[in-house]
Amino acid sequence: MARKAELRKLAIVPAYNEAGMVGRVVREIERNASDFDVLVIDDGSTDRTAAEAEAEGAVVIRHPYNLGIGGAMQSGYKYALRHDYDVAVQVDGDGQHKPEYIPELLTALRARSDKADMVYGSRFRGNPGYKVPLGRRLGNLIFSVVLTAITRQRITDPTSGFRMTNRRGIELFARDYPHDYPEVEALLMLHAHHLRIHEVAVRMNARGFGRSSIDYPRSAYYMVKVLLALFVGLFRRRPTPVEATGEAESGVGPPVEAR
Amino acid sequence: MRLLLLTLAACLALAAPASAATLQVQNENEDGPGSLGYTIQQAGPGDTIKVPPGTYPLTHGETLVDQNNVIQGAGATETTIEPTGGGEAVEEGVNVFGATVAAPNKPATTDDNKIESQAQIVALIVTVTLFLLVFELVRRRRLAERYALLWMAAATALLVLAIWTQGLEVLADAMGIQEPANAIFILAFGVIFFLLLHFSVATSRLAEETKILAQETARLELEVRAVRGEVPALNGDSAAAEQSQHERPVGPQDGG
Repeated sequence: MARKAELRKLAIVPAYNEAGMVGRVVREIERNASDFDVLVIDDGSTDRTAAEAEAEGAVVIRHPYNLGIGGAMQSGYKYALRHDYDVAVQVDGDGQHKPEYIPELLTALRARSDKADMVYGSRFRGNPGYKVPLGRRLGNLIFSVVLTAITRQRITDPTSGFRMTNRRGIELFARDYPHDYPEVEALLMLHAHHLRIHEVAVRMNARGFGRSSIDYPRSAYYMVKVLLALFVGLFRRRPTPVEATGEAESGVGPPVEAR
Repeated sequence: MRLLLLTLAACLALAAPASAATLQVQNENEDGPGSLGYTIQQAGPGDTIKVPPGTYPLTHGETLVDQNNVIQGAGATETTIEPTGGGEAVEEGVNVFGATVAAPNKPATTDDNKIESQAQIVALIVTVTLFLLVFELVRRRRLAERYALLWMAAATALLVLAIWTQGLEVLADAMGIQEPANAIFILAFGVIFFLLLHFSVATSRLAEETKILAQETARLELEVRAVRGEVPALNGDSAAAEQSQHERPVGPQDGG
């Protein structure tokens, strides 16, 4: 099969009512990582999110109604799978993630091509200066302890959505992606499918408009829901097995080593 | 329930004060001084009423229970009490000793039967209507067959209970529940609980399916716009990409 020598790379930008911000995010990605195509998932916005993203040259998928962050991300991974991308990176449409770190993530993913299927940017890895609201920090800490225990590797920032995966990750997430607050569960899915995870230290912006997708009244629900999902996930060894592609076969070879 | 009350009454009677008197019935009249009914009405709390051999109609027995009175006959074969009005109050071995209580022949019984059969008719009408409603919904394809089966079963169960009135008591006995009404509440609660759980599952599945449809619609809309030239051609023709996706199962990939 005639394939380009270089990797096909996609930046997936989920955006829900992010007019005024999403254009900047697309621009920043193109400036810092011009080798990435930009796909914006307009998750049922009622403002000019889609128009703004398109004006900046992004491809835009417009959901007919709001599916939530999980549905939006899965849409992006489905697109990546269908259009034959080798690498996909998630960049939040609210400007929280700094596209200047994309090349760093890519380097980490390729340098560890035999070690990692997903690399993600952690705010808390050797980067103590970052200020996070206490509730969110606490939740992060609990998830961090639980996931570190389950995956037997250090996970310092399990709620970070700044993630880059290879083809195996794309295939997995296109088939199945968690619903409401997907980041933590997605990590567990990766682990259950023997996809390997690696952390890269990054800094993040405070949320674009100072609002978080998780506000305080919802944090309790978030905690319980995700912990329940983690617990149930332990009893569900392989929710949707990834079809054995050549890559998967070569990748799975030795079972995931405990680190 | 009645048995319980009477037992309680008997217990209380045993514990009655020693001041209780003994009264003697004088004649077999239905009413008036010396009759059984009159004597009962005259009796004070805890009094014993002695009844000589003979057959005695009983019209006013209600105060027996309230005052813990006991009727003492001359022997089961000698003394017979025929309840005509206060039949509920007298019971052999509870507050009647040494006398036979004849089967009550009070006219109120037919009233009770009438009420019971009226309730039965209402229950029959309701359940038959439910049955027909479900049938009609299925006929118009408004209700999927598997739910129809469920509701038909529910309607049938109710119909059976409406016709076979003893059924509920048998059911309650089998479940170890004293009050038949409670048995049906527990059963109904259980059925409703599982039905709701089932609908939660069905709703979750529908939400998942709807999500997939929305994602597909959005993707197709993008492709339509690309084909129309409203947006730049997508990176990698989608048809070609789809084809290559099917062709790509083997071979290790670069990068990854």
